[in-house]
Amino acid sequence: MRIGTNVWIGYEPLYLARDLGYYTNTQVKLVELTSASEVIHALRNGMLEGAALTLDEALTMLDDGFDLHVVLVMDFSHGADALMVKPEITSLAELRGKRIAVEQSSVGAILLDGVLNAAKLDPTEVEIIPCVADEHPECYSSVDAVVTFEPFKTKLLQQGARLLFDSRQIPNRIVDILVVPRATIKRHPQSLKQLLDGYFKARKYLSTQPDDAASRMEARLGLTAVEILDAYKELSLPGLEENITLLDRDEGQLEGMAQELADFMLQRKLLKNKLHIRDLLDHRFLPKSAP
Amino acid sequence: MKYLRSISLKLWIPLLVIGIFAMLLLIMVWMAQQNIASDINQRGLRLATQQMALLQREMVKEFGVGHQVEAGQALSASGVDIHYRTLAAIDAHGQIIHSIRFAQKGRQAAKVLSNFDTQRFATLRQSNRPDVRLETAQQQISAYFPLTLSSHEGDIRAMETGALFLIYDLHAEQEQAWSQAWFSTLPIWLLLLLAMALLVEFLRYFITRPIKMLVSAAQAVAQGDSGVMIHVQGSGELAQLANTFNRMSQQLDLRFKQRMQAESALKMSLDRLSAAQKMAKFGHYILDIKSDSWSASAELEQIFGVDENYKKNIDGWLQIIHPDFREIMSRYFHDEVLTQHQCFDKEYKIIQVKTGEVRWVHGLGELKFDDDNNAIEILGTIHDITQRKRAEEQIHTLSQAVEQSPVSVMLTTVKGHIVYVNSAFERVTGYSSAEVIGQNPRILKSGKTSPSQYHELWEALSQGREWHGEFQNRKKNGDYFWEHAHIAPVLDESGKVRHYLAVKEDITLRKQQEKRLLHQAHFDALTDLPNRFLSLDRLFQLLTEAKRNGHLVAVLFLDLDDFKKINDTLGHSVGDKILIGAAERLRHVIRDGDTVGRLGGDEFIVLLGGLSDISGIRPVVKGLIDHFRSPFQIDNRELILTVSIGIALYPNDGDTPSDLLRNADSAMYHSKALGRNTYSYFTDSMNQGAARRLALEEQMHGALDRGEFRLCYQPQIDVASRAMVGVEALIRWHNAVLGEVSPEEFIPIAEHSGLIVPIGQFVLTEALAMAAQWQKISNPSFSVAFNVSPHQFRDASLVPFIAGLIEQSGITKGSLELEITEGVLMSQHTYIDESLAALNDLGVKLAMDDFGTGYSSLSYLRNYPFSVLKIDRSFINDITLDEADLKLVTASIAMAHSLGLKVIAEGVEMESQLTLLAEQGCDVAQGFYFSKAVPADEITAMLEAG
Repeated sequence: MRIGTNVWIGYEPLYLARDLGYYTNTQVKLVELTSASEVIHALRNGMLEGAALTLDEALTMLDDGFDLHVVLVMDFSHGADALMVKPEITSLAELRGKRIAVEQSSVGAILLDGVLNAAKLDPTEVEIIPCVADEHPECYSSVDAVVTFEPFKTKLLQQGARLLFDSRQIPNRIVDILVVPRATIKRHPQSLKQLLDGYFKARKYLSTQPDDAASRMEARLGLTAVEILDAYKELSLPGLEENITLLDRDEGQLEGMAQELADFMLQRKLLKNKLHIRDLLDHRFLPKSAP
Repeated sequence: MKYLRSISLKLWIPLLVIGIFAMLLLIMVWMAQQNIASDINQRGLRLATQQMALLQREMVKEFGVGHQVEAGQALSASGVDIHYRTLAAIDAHGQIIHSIRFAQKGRQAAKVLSNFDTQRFATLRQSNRPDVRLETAQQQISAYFPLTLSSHEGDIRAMETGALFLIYDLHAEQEQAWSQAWFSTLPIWLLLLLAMALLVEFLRYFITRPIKMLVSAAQAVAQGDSGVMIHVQGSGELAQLANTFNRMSQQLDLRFKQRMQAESALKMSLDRLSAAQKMAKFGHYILDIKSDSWSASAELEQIFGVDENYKKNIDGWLQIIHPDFREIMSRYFHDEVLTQHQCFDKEYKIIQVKTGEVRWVHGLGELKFDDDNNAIEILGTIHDITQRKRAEEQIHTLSQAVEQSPVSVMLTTVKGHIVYVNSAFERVTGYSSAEVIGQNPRILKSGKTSPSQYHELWEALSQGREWHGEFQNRKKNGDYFWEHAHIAPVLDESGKVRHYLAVKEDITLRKQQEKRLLHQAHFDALTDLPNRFLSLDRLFQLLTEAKRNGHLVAVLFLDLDDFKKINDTLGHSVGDKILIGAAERLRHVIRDGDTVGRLGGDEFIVLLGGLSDISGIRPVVKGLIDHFRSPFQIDNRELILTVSIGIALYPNDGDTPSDLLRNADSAMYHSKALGRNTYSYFTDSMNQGAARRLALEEQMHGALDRGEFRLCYQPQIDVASRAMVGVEALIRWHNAVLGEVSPEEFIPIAEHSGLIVPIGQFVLTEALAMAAQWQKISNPSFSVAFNVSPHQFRDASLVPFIAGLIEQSGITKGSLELEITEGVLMSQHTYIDESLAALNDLGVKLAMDDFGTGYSSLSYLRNYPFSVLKIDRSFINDITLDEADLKLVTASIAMAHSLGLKVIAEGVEMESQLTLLAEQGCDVAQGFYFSKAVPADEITAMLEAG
């Protein structure tokens, strides 16, 4: 069972789990891709059995008729997604007519929408430059602003960029989730369980031994352990209990959020169709008890 | 016979078939898998090479235009292929530029990539040709593709050669191939199972079922069923077999039935034998000597209390035997039976194994020998003889009981011949058993048993009843003895009398005791005269007779005069001898047929019956009184005892024994009152005398407490000076019912009832108190005299009591005079001597009272410390008229004075008497001439008057 992700500290506990050997002797294979676009691409082509995506990305796929299901909520972005601008730009209003790099197919669109909305600008009033996530540091030099996320946000800060807007201003819009097509639920139920078990074990490891966990992440993220731990402060990682609350069919918190987001995206023309969120969530693969 | 191995066809045939098929199938699967695996490998090689060639081309192109990132994206995108375990772009220095594992970026390939072969990498860099290898063992493909890198910007040609390193994993696919291979053969497996089920069913129906039938039929035959038939149709081998079986079964059935008949006949006879053995408690056994084992019939097992599991060998048999017999039986069996070849014949005790019960058995056994005359077998019987033995034991016990019984037991035949006597019989009669066996019990006859007794005995026995009664028989030595016999016929089973059994107890001793008891009940032990009971009984008989023939009956009540005095003074032994003597005399006097009895004490009764008138009484009575005139010779002493007789007559004085006795008693008292030594006929007035005696006794109780006694004092006057020198204290009794009672009347009754002691103490206390007063008024030597009854001396407290009084009252020493009569001294009791001596020590003077009326033994005067002699009034009365009396008085005074005694004359009534006494030198006088006895205050008045 292949699970594809791009590089994003919210997804990093999965790799921590692999590194700690939690997936040894299982069918779980983590596929490391360079950007969310690559992930979506692979998932659409059936090259992956599951993927870590943002909720808006998942909605976009639903809009295209994919039958996806959310089996895990990995994080809420509270500042980890951000608009980084050249130092000379000091206000949102100054963005008018500026070149903004963004990974269009992905979560970047949501944040950009939030930025434009806050700046009271029409998308036509700025120049949008497509740029996939792993190229953001390269793109930065040729644009005025970049819509990005960790670890690239920290890397841009190191290059002298200024943070003008981040996900804290659009709460609950940017949600990272683990989605699987219906076929995976049928074929790999056992592996899904092992995947989530390992995830929560790694989460525990991260909270109990943060330094070791962070140092294990250094190579993949290209950040120091201290930077990684700082970056985690901009994330809210729901635990097992919260996951149950979010994913439980009856409570359906995430379903409400998704519907809200879908409606918002339709309004912003980020979706083609009106979506009726139903049967999106599947909490059966969550561990029965916290590790 | 050939031995064939048989297996379950139903199971093994299908198993064998299926086994072969399964094996073939497995080989097929294996071959198929081999093909698939080979295909996978080939396809893997092809795909890996193609994909790597494409990636190589794209990456070289991107590197060529300096798109490092895009080259990395291309590599990463390839990573989604599930087969790619490792995929990395490595530069010329072996450093990882890109990897599907981002973390490996920048690291040394040789360090982080486990399958990386630096040799192949080096070779690749030389040859610049892809190196793709199938590594069958690891189920993977390793591929090294050259990668031209433009490391330095501005180089016209990228000169540096790196590599794309790939590990293409075939493991999962190979595994899948196996499962696919298995899966594809599934329908064949199912078919195989179906075929097997069909085969099993086929076998079951056409082979197993008929065989089972045959087997169960054969089993039925084996279990003893007969006439079993099998029906198998068709002409197969099994049908032939079934037909053959049926013929065999018929044959067997025929033989079986014949055998059954024989067996049932045998069983019946065995059952009968067993039943017979059970009834007879008789079992049999066969002992095989060589194998040391025996078999037993059911009854024998019952007798021994063993079952078929019991260890049936010689040791097992010995274990059953009672420990008392085990050793003996073991020796007997081995020595006499096995060694000496004797027949086994023994009675012994066993302990039943099951119940632990002890039983007697009689074992018999005969030896069987082989041709060499070796004992090989014993065939024998065991008979349970417990009942017989117990009966024998019981008979033995009973015989012993009879033999040792303390009563005589005798068994005779019907004709009367003795067949058995026990040892008690021998001991009692003195005849030995041998002497009497065969004899008739008549030999014991004494001739003293009445013929009617024998008649009664034989009448009872001849009617089959038992009889008991008493015989007086004679022993061998001629002695008579009494027997209480219980004789009973002993019947046999048919109820006929076989024997007579006599159980006899020697009751001679009892008879004697009875007689003695009877005698004791009716006769007085001392005198052997009829006692009160018998006397009254005789009287009753006499009265009955007299009522019939109109005769008179006289009841004589006799009382020995002064017997009490004798008894008190001379002791009971003397009294008893007198009573015996008196009885002897009485017996001699009476006529034949008259009765003498002792009523108790000194009272006797004489019954005279058959009197036609009262004239017959007088001679008898006279004779009685005459006989008592002569003295009794007792212990060298002559004692004269007269008798007083009272006579009551039937029918005049009463018609019941008690009335007559009471009236005779009253008459006797009258005789006493007349002066004793005489007889009186009962008169009505005597009744009153008896009544007064009773009234006196009754009233005297409590008289002291009621203060009815008082003292009077008669002055004693010095003859010379005519002055009062003392008084004699005299007791008076005034009773509300009886009036004034004289001391002569009540003192004997007081003595009789024991009231004399408290009365005496009253007198002493009162008189001493007065004397103390008077000594103060007149002079300290003023004396008081008392009379003391002999009964008072018996009271041990008399002397200490007087001593206490003297101390208390403070009277002058020597002013107290105790007057005693000769009778007190005559008893010679030591307590009287001791009392008198003690009183003398206290300073009490002794006066000899009533001197001259009794024996007047002078030795008493000498032997006892008398100070005073009182001359009886009977002498004084007549001194003026009778010369002899005067001379006696004169002599007495002279004798007294010569002994140093003071003389007091009693009953002085006239001046002339006093004058005479004065002339004779009498010291003191008392009497009506001076004063009668007066109350104390008058004495006081006299003294005060001077």
